[in-house]
Amino acid sequence: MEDLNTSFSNALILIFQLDSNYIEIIALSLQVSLSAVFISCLISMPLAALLSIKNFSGKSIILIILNAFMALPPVVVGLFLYILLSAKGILSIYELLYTPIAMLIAQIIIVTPIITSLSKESIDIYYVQYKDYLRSLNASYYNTATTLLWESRYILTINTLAGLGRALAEVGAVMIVGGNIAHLTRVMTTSIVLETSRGDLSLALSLGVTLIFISIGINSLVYLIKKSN
Amino acid sequence: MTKIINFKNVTYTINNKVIIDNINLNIKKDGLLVLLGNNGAGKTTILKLMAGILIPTSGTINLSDMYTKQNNRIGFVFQKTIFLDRTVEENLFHALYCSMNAKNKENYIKLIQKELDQINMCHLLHEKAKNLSIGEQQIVSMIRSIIINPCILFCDEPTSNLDDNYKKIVENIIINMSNKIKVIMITQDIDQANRLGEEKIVIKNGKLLN
Repeated sequence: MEDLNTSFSNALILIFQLDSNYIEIIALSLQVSLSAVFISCLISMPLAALLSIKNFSGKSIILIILNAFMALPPVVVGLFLYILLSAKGILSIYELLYTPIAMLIAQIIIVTPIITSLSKESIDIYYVQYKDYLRSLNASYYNTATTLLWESRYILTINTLAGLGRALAEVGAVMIVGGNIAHLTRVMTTSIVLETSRGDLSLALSLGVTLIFISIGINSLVYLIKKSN
Repeated sequence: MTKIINFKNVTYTINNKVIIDNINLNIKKDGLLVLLGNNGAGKTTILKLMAGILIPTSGTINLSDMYTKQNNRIGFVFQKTIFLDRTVEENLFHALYCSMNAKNKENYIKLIQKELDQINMCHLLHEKAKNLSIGEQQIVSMIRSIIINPCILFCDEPTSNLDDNYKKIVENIIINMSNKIKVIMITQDIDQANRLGEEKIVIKNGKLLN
């Protein structure tokens, strides 16, 4: 018990003293996950609008794949990405393995199907509501898409935050393609795994507590957005 | 007589249920046409087919060249108003933006204000359209349909939920518009149809009776 108390005390000291190692890990985590979610949104939002508005051959297959990829195990993503980026992989020339960019790519692959699928379902609701009106205006595809994206902006923000939560909590893929290298690719989740296995609970706990607070912060934001809407 | 819309053997089905059954119809260029019929007769479906909102399952709908070349904008007033979650001004500007490619908002605000001022509703400009009363919503919906300068105005039971005061305002707008462009209106009110309609079509079970 004493050890646990000591670990908690040390964890709090690390947090309140803004330990440089602790800050560095959190900064990299946020940098990678926020960038991944931002890039995912640039892909997901237009794709979700397209899937909602347009009918084309192969649409059902894309939807099935997207929905299946929502539950994609991160370690599998990590494994495939590792194969592509490793010395014998087809993308080895870019030398991205064990870099933050590899972690970013992994998170984009994990988060994009989630944001796209959820956003498509959200836009569908608004499309049913506004379809006749937009058709009566002879609105172009671009105007239809932008109208629907704007009208569903609150729920799309919530979907994006769900994606951010998933990205921040992800450990398997970033561990494989990032390698958990100190001062280079070590993020909150991989660091927690490492420090726990080492028996050094102070840093693991400080990061765990921070991750919980970030999660509470994201959920509070979701709640506030829902309430304001 | 110039025809503006021509239906040739038009059928519309949903899940194998025939809603519109092999209709042939010519609609002349000007004036007010009233579509009459009971609930479920197929009036709204015909109106949406005319407006191009729905595509027929079989048959063809031809629009006159004059209509398509000069101005292909249509105004559509829905029975249950459809508004974006925006202010009245933004809803009206959105219609202008989508149908007339109106880019510069500043230039169109005066037009929006002028239209609302004509019916003493300028005070609603910055209200959320969805928060207006049903009567106010229907008037704003009418304004939104005519502000885009359409060549045909379609009205789906525009007065069905309105009190006498708002009904009168909407009817006046319809009469004024029918002096300028083609107006096609659905009603279940036979008195209203007789009062307003220069031309009447009765629809029953997806077929034309006259």
